[in-house]
Amino acid sequence: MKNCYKFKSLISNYIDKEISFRDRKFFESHKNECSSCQSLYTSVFSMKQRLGSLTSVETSNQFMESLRNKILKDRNSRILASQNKGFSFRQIPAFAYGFSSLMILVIAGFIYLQMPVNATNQEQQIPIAAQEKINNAKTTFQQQFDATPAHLPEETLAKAKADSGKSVQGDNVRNFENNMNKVDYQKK
Amino acid sequence: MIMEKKQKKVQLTDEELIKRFQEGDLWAFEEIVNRYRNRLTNFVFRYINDQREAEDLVQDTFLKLYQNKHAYKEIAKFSTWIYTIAANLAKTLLRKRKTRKLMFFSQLGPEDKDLDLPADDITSQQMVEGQFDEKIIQEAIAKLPEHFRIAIILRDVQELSYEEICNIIGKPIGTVKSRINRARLRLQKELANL
Repeated sequence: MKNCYKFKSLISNYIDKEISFRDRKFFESHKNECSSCQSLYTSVFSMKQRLGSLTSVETSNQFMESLRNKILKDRNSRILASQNKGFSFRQIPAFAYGFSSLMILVIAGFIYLQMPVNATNQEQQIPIAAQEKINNAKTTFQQQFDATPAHLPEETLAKAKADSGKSVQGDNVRNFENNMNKVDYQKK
Repeated sequence: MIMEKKQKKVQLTDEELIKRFQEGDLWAFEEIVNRYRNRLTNFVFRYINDQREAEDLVQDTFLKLYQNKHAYKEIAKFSTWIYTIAANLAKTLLRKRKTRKLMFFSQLGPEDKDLDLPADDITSQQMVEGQFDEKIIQEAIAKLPEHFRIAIILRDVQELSYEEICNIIGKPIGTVKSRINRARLRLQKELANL
């Protein structure tokens, strides 16, 4: 039974002469021993020969003409397609849509992430030390301003200005400006 | 002189012809068509079991060759290349046929499904005692699974070498040999009553 199975698997190799010497020896000896395998071999062999001698199906007389028509039709449709070539969203490949959507998402994400970071940066731009100096300068200015005799009549102020060559209020403003310039300089 | 030239052209190999066609020689294309039209039609007919469709499909094969002549590179035999195109087109057609069949049956009502399908057993009129009827053999070939069918047709009907069959089917030689053997045994079983 095992030999019959092996015999079956070797039939085509034997018919096509694609069999090793050892297998051929086995095949031939089994063929002589087993009558059912022998008849199977004969049957397969004759069937193979019959397949080879089947009537060949041939093309009709219009074959070449139809082929020429097909080629012409195809060529014309190609020409027509190239002439009617206008813009169409269908011409854009699918990956281009995907890529552009991805780019939009990346840009939008970048902008979104940048916005709150900028706001906090602005707040942190002035260092604490500088801020303190600004506040000090503001306080000094306020004190000096409060000390200025703003309630004096115009003549008295004009006189004092003439005496010192500059107004008292102007001095205070200049002092504040100087302080601010110093703070700016330190900031830089 | 012209006769001599023509005779010389006829002696060209397939590979030389396709090279000439790639260079723009339309005569070479016609020569290829004439060499392969019957061989391919016979192969496709045995595979899809419809002569009209087979002829149409072979025309499509040559149309593909015409359109993609530069796709052929001289690393493979031309015959293998053209058989592969035809086989692929035939496989696509069979797939479409299957889908069409499925759609047709799915659209039928339960009372319609009891149809008389083409009989598997052939009527006695078609049988000639003691002879292998070609129609019966063709029906038996058509019953084989696709991968067995293509292998046995290429080997026993077209008489191609195992190497060529391997290239056309795209399977190793062991697989091809096994398929051919199993196809022959099945066909023998199918035709045992004859």
